[in-house]
Amino acid sequence: MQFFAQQLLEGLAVGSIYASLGLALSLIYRMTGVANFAQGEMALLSTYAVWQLITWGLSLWIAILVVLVGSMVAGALVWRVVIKPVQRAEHLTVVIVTFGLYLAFNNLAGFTWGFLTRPFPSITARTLFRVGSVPFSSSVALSIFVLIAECAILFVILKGTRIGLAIRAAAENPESSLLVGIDINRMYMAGWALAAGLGTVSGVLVAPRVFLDPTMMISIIISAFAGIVLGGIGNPLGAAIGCICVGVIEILSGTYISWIGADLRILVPLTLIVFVLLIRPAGLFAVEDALRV
Amino acid sequence: MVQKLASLVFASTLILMGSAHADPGISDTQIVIGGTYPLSGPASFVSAVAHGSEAYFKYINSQGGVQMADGKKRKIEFKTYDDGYQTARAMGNVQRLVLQDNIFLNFSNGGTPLNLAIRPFLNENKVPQLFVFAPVATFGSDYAKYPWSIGWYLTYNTEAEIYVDVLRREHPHARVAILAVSSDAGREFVNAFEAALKGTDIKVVAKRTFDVTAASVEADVVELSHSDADVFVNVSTGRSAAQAVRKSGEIGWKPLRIIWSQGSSIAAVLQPAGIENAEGSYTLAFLKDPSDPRWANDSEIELYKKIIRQYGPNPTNPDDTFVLQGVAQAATLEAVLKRANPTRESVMKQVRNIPPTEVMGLLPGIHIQTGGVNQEPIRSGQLMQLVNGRWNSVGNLITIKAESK
Amino acid sequence: MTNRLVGATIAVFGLLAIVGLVFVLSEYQIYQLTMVVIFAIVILGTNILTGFTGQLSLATNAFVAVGSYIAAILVADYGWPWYTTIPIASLAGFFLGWGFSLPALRLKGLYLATATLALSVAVVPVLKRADPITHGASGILVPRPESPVAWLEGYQWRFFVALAVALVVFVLVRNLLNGHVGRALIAIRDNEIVASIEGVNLANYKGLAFAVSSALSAVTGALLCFNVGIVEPSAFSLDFSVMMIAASVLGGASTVFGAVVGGVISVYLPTLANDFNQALVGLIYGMTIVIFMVWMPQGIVGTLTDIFQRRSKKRSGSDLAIPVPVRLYP
Repeated sequence: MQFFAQQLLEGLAVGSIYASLGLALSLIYRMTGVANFAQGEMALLSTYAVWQLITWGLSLWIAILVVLVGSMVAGALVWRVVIKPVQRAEHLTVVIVTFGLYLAFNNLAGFTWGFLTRPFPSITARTLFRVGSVPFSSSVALSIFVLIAECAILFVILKGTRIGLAIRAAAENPESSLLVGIDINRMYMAGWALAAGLGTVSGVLVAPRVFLDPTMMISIIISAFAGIVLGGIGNPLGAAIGCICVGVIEILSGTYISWIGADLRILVPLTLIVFVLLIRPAGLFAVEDALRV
Repeated sequence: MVQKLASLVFASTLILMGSAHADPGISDTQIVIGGTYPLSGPASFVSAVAHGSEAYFKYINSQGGVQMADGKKRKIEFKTYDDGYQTARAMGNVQRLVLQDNIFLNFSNGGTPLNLAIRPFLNENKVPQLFVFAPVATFGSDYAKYPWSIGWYLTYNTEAEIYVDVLRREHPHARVAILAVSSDAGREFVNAFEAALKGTDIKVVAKRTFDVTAASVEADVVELSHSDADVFVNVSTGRSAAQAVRKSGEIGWKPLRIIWSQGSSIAAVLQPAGIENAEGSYTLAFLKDPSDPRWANDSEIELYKKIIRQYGPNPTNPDDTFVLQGVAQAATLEAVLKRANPTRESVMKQVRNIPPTEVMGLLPGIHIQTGGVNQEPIRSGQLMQLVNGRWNSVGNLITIKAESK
Repeated sequence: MTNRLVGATIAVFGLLAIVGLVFVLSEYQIYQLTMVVIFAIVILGTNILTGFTGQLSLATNAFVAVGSYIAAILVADYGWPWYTTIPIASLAGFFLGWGFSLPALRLKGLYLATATLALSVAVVPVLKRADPITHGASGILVPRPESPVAWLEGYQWRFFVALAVALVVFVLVRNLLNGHVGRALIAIRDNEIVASIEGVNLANYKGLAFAVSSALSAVTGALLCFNVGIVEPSAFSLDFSVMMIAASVLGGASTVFGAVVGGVISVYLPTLANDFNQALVGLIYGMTIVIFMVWMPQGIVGTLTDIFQRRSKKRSGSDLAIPVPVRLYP
């Protein structure tokens, strides 16, 4: 029983890593209709930026704040320079552009900072709680807390404010939004900026746990993607829950189905999603509507 | 009379110069060598090896070059191409190096599959393939079939056999848990380890193989800790190795721990993980760990760090063990070239008969040596244990002798 | 009629020129050209599925791996002659592709992409895990086919083999797409519901597109095996699929000739980037993709065709040269 609880918590821990990136992915998709392949690498660059500032002597909190603002500006810039010209073109073009960004950003990180693994300071000291007799890391608790906070803030902004209404309108019905005077482009830019900020938070939370090097985000984005499809594409809250489920399913199936082991773990949630999608060929979960933000 | 003599001398010199340099890539003042490496993409941590070699060659060049057996000093131009760890591109790069850039010899290259793929081509074209980054047995044993290729590293097979040998003597009934990265290197090591266990009473009771890009291996360590293993063999690198070391410390699982040589770097793995979590672990080493405080005042390591800081392409980190590997390989090439005449044949002849030679970066007492049936330049390792944040030598150097065929 | 004659003459002269070049260029240059031809085949498959039929698949790497490993295992482990493995690989790709498409193509847009993502991500770990058959992470070494005649070097022979296979493939595909099949695929891409009302059997045609595309991937895999000499898992990662899609779109996804341009890009872009700065190859590759897509979203062939048509004010007869937007989402 203790073993099960321990692995369940490991699943939760991994799932929270995916969810932090999944939230950014889902938000961008929801707000701008783009599946951003490069989201993880943007978060990676932000994380390296924080690391660099800390190395130059800034305190952790100041560095995070500076990069948070910087990354949001950068995100808006990326949208303006690279995405805006192609977003009216075929969707495939936009996806390819984000893939190009993924390659470029990943290699930029490697070229600038090298490939040596680096430790990354945690916001809180890394202590170990005990839930019963099961060790539970404080950094996991922090990740989950931040995740809940992010979802709550997003919920409030999107559902409770006028700007949130404008954002949702621009995403759901661009033409009509134009008619009522909403500047869609500004909404899209805001979406990319917001997602970039979420990415920074994600990187800063993840790096202390998995260590910083250019390969840090590569597999996270795939699991995050699986999570957002499971939880409802375009539904940020559902995306977070979906990612946590992906994490738990991955770890538990790897533990209890011995021939899956560690290397085939990622396939379980992906296959599950495919089966579920097949049973519902329309492609949408009923539960999604209830969770729609 | 004088004129005739002069023209005779002049003509002979020309002929001698022409025939002395029938091989491409070498002149009286320069040697061109080349290699293909994954300079970009997920395997690009290997590029540190290339950077180390580059730095060392620049250092030699700054002193006029390497003096070969014919008395001439030649500078080394080292060309590297990026293959992104794709064998198709590596093939293309090597063909370009040999056929277009006319290199004198091929050096190191990054990765075992790449080196295996290009070996037939290089041998067909009689281009030396020297000191490859491919710690697998075939580069030391198949010299009859591939006379132009040779390895450098203590092979994974040898390393695994040594660990098994030590376990057999100290823990003859051990129960082993293995955490392994699913790369060609990990696979070679684990296969050799399991093969060496045959006939012993030691059993592998748990094994987890994880993908090299996996986000976290913490759950796998937890899984292994729930087996009844009393030995934990950690066959992972970089980030994953650090995660594994830290997790096992955190959950209080501290059986007899062995970390393979690729995962034992203090700077890259143990310090990020919290070095106290690895206290008491064992590893086998043949190179100094440049981040180990034990060598902080070592004159050789000090020179090495100076070379890297001055000549290494940005950002080369002297604490990275891969960088030191590159430097040591380059130093080995320098040692061989010093004894060789400026032809590929002469170089190969010297490569096959290296007398015990010290080279920058090797542990004291370990030499480069080849001759006869022994065509693995490094055959010795030193068992080490992490004590108070340093790798301490345990026992004597272990040397595996080459077997006659 | 004269158009076709002109086209045919150009093709014949072009072919003769290529054959002539083979005896003039170096082994390295021929190797690069062989790779261009080989990648053009798989990119053509991508064009059929994504450019013509509008279905995004990330699973190209899976079917290339199928072809490569079938070729490698049959030759290295069972001693079969190499030329038998190419048709076997293509058949295996065809039927496996058809099989996968039966459930998969009921999904649309991003959901289809997810299903193919699952397959794509599965390839590398499964190849490494299926150690007894695939030799695991170390891969399989395969001797490259030598020339059967004295007046051809090995590398020249291998180029001609690849070229011959590619020509057969391109002619077959072009005829396929020029006929009613091509029109059905384009109709599906533009509007599935309308196509279905017009009597196009969606399942059959989508399945056919998937199967043909997978067969082409497998053929590429087999040819890669014989030209590189080693088959190992990490070459068949998700990145490979995405690179092929990028090359396809850059070349011109809904054209046949775009596949050739895509092949050229796949091979020469990394080489050129290397010359510029070998540490920055990945960065340059990525930035080039971004810049090209922003500047020429219809791909090179598409954009050039546009310009050419606008200048000459006449439309070419076949749909093949007109790029039409690819709709990814329903």
